[in-house]
Amino acid sequence: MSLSVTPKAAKQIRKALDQRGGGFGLRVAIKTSGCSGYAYALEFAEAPAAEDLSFESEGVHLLVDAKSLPMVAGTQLDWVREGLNEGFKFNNPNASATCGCGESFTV
Amino acid sequence: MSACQSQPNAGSSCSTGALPPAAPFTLPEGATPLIVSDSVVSKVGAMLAEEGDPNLKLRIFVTGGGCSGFQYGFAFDDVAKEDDLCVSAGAIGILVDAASLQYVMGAEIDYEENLEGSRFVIRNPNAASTCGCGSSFSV
Repeated sequence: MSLSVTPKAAKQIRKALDQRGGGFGLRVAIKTSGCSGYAYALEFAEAPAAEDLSFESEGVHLLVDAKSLPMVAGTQLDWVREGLNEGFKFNNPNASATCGCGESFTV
Repeated sequence: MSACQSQPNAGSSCSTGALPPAAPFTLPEGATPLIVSDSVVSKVGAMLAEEGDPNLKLRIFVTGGGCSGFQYGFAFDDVAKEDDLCVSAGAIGILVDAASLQYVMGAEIDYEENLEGSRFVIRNPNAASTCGCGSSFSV
């Protein structure tokens, strides 16, 4: 199982890399935080590290370290516009629950 | 963040609904209803310039739904309602209806752009807890 991106996400990744002045690709990292236990983090990557797996999709490179891969295997990264907001969306077949986007709160 | 509970299948069960009817709301005298950041003024200004409608304003509203009970919504609107509060910030106008205003009174509206995306955020002193940004999941 690998990681992939949609054409829209690829375009956005290329744009972000250009604005930054280059780079190998994006790293998908997993943090233990957020409402549902885990959170994704995206970072620019200069080069693959020894423990990394590298995937190429739509002409862009995605890196994930081997330990995190089981949690994100098969994930497709999309770039979506929701109302006036836009951002990357992780379509992760391993996720059993996801939670909102900072727009949700209690009083 | 710690008060935020994981919601099984929240993605599909997150509902959107109307707010309960609000008691008549009067703006406390001298209160600042909304704090609008410079990035909102410049981003919304640019978005509105693209739309080309001089009457268009940013509407901020609150609906029932989301993981934590309420959620914010953002839209452009060129019709002000009778119970709207209109806040001017720089060259832009922001509309908030009375029912929503009681939940966002004194909140700071900001626009954040980073690698993950670009979005409006509300730092709301009335909120007891907030929840992640689609970046949170469980396996």
